[in-house]
Amino acid sequence: MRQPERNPNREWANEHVEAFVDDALSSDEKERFEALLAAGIGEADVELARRIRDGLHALPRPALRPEISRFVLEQARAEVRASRRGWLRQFVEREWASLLRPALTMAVLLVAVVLAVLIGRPPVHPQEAISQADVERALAEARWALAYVSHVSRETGSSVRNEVLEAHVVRPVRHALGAVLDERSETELK
Amino acid sequence: MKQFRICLAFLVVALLAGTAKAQNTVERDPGYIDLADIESWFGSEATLDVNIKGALLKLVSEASRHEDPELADLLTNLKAIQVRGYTLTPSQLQGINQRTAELGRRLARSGWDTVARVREDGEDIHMYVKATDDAIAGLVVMVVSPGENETMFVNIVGDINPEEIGRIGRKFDIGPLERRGNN
Repeated sequence: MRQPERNPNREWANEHVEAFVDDALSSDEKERFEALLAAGIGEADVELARRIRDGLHALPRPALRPEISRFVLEQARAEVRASRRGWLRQFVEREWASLLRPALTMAVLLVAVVLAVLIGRPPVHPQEAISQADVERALAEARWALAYVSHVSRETGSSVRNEVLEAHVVRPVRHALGAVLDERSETELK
Repeated sequence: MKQFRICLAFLVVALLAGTAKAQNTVERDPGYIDLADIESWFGSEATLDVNIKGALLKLVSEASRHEDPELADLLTNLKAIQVRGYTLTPSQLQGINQRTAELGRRLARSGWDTVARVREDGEDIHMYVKATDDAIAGLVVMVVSPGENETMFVNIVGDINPEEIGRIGRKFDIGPLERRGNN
């Protein structure tokens, strides 16, 4: 039995007929295909492919019900969220020991120090709370306190002078001088 | 876990340090003495109670600057002025003299120098100063005066120049000060 003779152009045309009908060939391929059509090769195939395409386009398209599209979108979003959480969990687990724990420790320490400083700060008394009368009264009291200390110091000083210097320095010196003077007077009289 | 324990320990230490700092800094000054306990010696409130420190002392210093710059400068260097005056009855005299002498000894043990201890005409005067490296940080004057039926305690805290206090204080009168309860 004799085998039909192979025609490479026909085979190429058969392989590319769908792309030609869908206008998906490059310009060179398109030129080649059109040259073959002009030569009477593949016209019937092109016609058949066009009829099939038009027939498919003529079929009614089933519309997706809204609840199904919502469900699909929700599923897609849930999957994205799950994948993000998984990434975050993996990141936390991976970085916890090396980065996050020391960082968290430092943050807690910092908060502790700030709290300590804030708690430890002496209460600030607003100067507005101190009236002019308070200031004048305090000024009078300060003057009085200084005057009192000054007075007591002078009193103490005079006591020291009277009791110590008078008794232990002035009187002995006066007594010694008196004795010397008396002795000299007696000598002169003789 | 170990790091958290260390962290907790730091937290406790920091909070304790903060609480300690919360106390007024003047009260931790070497020249400061607490006069609060003295009230229990007398069983009555002070007839003269002067407490000038902090913001009030700054305001007083500034208030006097125009009229008396020398006084303002002196007050600027001070941290507190405390005065307590109590009425002294004859029955209290011996006990108060003993307690005052004991307070003086306690001050001396705490590093205060006795400047003067004078007894004249029944009046007992104690003067102490607290010296730091190169300055005087505090002055305490205690006067038990049975003749005037009063006992007076004065504590001046800060960078004190006694000569300056004597000179500036001489300008002012120690007439009757507005007493507690007369406000």
